Amino acid sequence: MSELLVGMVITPLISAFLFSLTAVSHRIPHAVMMRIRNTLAVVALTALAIQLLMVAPPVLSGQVLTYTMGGWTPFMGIALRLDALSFMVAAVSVTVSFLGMIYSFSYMEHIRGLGKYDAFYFLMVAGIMGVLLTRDIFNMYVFFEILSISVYILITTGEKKENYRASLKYLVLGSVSSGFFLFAVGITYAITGSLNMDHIAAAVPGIMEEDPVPVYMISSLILASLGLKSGLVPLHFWLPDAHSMAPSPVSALLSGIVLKISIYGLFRLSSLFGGSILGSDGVVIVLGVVTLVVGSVLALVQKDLKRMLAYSSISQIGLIITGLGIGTDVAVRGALFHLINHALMKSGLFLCAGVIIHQSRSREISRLRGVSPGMALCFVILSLGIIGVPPLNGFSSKLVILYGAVGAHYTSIAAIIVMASVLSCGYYFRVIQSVLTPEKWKRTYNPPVPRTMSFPVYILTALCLILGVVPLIGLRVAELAVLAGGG
Amino acid sequence: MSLYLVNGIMIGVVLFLIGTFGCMTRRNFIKIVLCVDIMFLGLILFFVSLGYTEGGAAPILGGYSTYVDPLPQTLMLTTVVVELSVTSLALALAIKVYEQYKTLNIKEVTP
Repeated sequence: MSELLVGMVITPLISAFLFSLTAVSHRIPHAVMMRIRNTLAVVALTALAIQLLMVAPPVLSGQVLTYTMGGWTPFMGIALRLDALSFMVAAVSVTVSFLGMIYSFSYMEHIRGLGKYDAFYFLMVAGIMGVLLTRDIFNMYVFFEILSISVYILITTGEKKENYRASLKYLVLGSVSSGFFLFAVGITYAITGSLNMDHIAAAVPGIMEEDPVPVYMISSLILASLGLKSGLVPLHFWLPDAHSMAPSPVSALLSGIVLKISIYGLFRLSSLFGGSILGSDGVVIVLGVVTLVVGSVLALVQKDLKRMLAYSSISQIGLIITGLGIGTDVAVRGALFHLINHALMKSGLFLCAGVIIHQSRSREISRLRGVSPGMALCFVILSLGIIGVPPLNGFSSKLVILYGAVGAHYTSIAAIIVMASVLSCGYYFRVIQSVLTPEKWKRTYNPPVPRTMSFPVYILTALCLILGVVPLIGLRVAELAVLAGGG
Repeated sequence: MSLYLVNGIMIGVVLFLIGTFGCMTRRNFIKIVLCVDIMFLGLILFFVSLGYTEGGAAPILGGYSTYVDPLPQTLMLTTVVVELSVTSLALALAIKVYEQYKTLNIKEVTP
């Protein structure tokens, strides 16, 4: 059973390699090549999904699967581990990357001709799975680098001026953040003598008693590094560029999954260092609340649809971080549930925005028109979900976070969260108004939506509705994840 | 802890800080890439110094009593590869940016 963990990292890696082979110059006709690529992509992602489904029953019953690479003991070798927390994030990641790939069959057709896009897409998936499964912090750094490098390249696939600029900005800041992470890994190795997370977790309490300064140093370095990667407010300025300039399926993965992977890293590493990263001394709560408010306010003034969605991502990340920072069981459960929900909703919104921009031939919010009714409906449902309207999934997770905040006597923070939701009405209703205004429907150019582009959006909307009507599924998984992430 | 060990670690940390400072203050993109390089070189020195033992031999099979810790060195091999790919990608991007904007000044490229 636990051999499947290797398969989950290897499958996307091998398919990335195979895709890079299809980029070699050849005499196969273009249509045949595209069919080969599409089949390969579907087969690889299906294999990944099947492996996840096979490990689902034992993991969701509380079991933890461990695999040591090559039979080396964890002190020397690298261990892979899958528990409920990594399973939860991995399941969402695989779902979203599957739908994003299907979406790019038609959206990215002219770019996919080169084979570069697919190869780096799968390299990114390999990085995601690696970060989620590894139990060795240096290995985590390497997988974070694989993930980031493929993301830098994926951002440039639009091949416009702004793409290169956004990628450049992200690359410099991403390298600085990786440097911080590596520095933290070095200090960890110096004080604990091991890179395995279990060994570190066992060694840290003793070190804390003796001299807590190195542990605080590691915590602040990791908070700075992963905070930069997840766009906490003083460090958020690269995010709107990168997320709005990238092609829509890539934006969906960036906002939906890649940000969440950094938050997963924060949560996972926080428990190793005695909870000192997301500790209850209030710094993280303040950062989260500031991110929440600043993201919402900046989203209000945006004219560009995808830029507005990117700022909305910043504010939702702030909400998740606030929930994690409050640190009570209920709040953390709500934050992890919101992490799933936001991944589904925001990737749905970005995919939907891709269709809307394709149909109205404009990125400006005031000039969106000629949107087909199905897409408009999906956009309305998904944005109501982010705002937090009752029968949808955003409502239940926000409610749990609010409940946790009030339970921990942070009443003012609960008020700010509600206020930010009201602000989010402000910016989402502007888009909804522009999309739904009926007289704009008549005199419009309205290209049909390819089915491969509309289905992923429908599926994501359906998932949001299901999680909204039956929130207990998500809450139960989040509860297991909190239990697993605590140790 | 010997005097040499402290020196290696200190120089590594100082190089790391110089690199970080340069990343934040330089305006020319090529110089920023060089600063990222300096930062990672500092980290490599830092790691390798962590594994140093006074009078230790190279960790190859043989009749020595003290060995240098080989783990940081193997880790740094990986970091060198990662760093190489980041640098080459950054320079490729620099060429593209120069083609599009006709400048490498970060202030002029990003409004």
